[in-house]
Amino acid sequence: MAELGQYLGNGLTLGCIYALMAIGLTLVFGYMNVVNFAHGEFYMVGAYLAFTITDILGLSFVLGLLAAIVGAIVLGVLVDIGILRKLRQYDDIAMPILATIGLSILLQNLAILIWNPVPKTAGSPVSGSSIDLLVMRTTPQNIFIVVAAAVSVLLAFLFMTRTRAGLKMRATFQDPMASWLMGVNVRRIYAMTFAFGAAMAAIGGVLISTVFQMTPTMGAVATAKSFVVVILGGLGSFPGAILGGLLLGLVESFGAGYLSADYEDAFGLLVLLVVLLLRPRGLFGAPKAVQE
Amino acid sequence: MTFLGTRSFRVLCAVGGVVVLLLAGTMSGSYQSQIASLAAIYVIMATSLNLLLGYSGLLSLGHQAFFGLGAYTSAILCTELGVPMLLGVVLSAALALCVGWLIGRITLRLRAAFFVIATFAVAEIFRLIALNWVELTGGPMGYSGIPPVSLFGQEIISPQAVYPVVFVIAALVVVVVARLAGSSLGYSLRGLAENENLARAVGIDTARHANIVFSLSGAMAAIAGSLYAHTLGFVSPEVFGFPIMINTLLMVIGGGIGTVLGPVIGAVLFTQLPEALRFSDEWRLIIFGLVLVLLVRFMPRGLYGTAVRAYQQRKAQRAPEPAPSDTDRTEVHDGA
Repeated sequence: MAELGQYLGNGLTLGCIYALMAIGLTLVFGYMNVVNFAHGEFYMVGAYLAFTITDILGLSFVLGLLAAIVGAIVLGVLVDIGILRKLRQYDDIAMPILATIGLSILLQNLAILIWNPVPKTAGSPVSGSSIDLLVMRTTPQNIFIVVAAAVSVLLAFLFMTRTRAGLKMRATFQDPMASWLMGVNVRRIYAMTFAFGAAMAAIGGVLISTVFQMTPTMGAVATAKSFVVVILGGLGSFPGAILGGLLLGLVESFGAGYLSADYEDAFGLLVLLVVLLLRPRGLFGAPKAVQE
Repeated sequence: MTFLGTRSFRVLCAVGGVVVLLLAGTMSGSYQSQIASLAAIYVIMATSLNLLLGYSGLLSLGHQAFFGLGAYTSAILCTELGVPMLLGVVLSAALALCVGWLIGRITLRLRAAFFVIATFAVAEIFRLIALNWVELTGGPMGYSGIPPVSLFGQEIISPQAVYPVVFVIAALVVVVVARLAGSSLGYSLRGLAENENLARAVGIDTARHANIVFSLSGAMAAIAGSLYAHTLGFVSPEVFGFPIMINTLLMVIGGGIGTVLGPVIGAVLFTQLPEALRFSDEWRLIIFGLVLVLLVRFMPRGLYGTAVRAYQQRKAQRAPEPAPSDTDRTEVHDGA
């Protein structure tokens, strides 16, 4: 039973990171129709930026997190204006995919050049030994991740539903032409959405680096997992991304614990294929946010 | 009409190109010959991906699954059962054709982004199997001692002699794809790429054609993988890796998507590029990534596609009569 509690705690922690990643990807994929193969690289860049601020410069964790968010936003805006804006005119799904694959190779190898390939550890802002919480056995570091992820998701949700910018974003995705006629700067909204997705990934990267080691290639696995979650949850769906993320985290934690750890990643991909074929709109019904 | 652009000029160019490429690979050192063989193998890969992506508009990110499948099939059959090398290549292609048909049946029900992700997932599953099914594949250590390229029972060891064999097979694949592109199948594939509903409305069985081309290109990729295994004598799960896919994409896009010669030029150039950049391992992949981004952003037709188009436009300016109306990259014809 002790293991069960531990798997549950680990699974939930991982699931929260997956949910954060998936929210960023589901917006970019579901709304902009960009299958962003560089999504994981924003997560990696976020982790390394925060590491640079907190561990190399010795500043506070909050400053590190802020630097990661700002860095991801700047990078995201640059990528959208510099690369994706031109590609939108082709109306071809392949072009942005190829461009983001190139971008992911570029960012990965730049990170190797800047920070070297040796895995790094960033400390958690909280410390303490493991504690029992109901049936779960977990650590303060994991609880910190869960709380921080929940706050980030809540803020993102409020941004999308309660602010004018969020309203413009949702309007643009429903009908870009009509929004443009209503005076919405559609180009700016696309850049904003991409930057928003990048920032969510960066937060995920900062949080995961408080418990796991970071490497310049950590983004590749994260991208693949984000795809799994987005498809599990349904394109463009906020609640789907959260539920899908938690589900994948738990399945992986229990699967690695009780079944084969070697095929851990393969199970996720098999689930992805089955869902794509049987329920292409995701496990959790029609994407709500698109229809709102 | 000048000599440039006539049929005899084209034939002359083709013959000249073949002779130069053959000499370049056989008259140089062992190392250069091996690189030349690798380039020819990538010509097969790029040409087969182009059949899928360039003509049918289907972006598969799982093409490396067939490359790996071919490599391991050939490796296991020829090493364990003593199957002759050429038969190994043929059997690899046949197996990939069947597997491709099955995977196509499943994944081609999806379109656009979902097809891309599904093919990516399939290839990852293949890689994980190659990595973990140690009894069959040797696991992460890979599979070594694969018999070299052989012809009529004679093993060919020297890289200078291996190259012409690989070269001839690559040339055959290019010719087959060029023929396919000009056939009725090729035209219905372009219909699929441009407007699937319209193609279906005029009576083209797009689903069947897509599946045929998916398994055919898979079989060609398996031939490339099989030749790779025999040329190097060693395979590891890396043959299922995403980098193989990215290299191939770079070659197709960089050379000229939807043209016959573009991927060939791309494959030759981009197998040489890493060698040219060997002085700096750190910058090699950075430059690779940058080149891919810049190509998609500024030259989506690739080197050859852009050149052909510029030539066509100049010709159209000089003789404005039958004005070419093609604006789409899939309609770039190179007359091969």
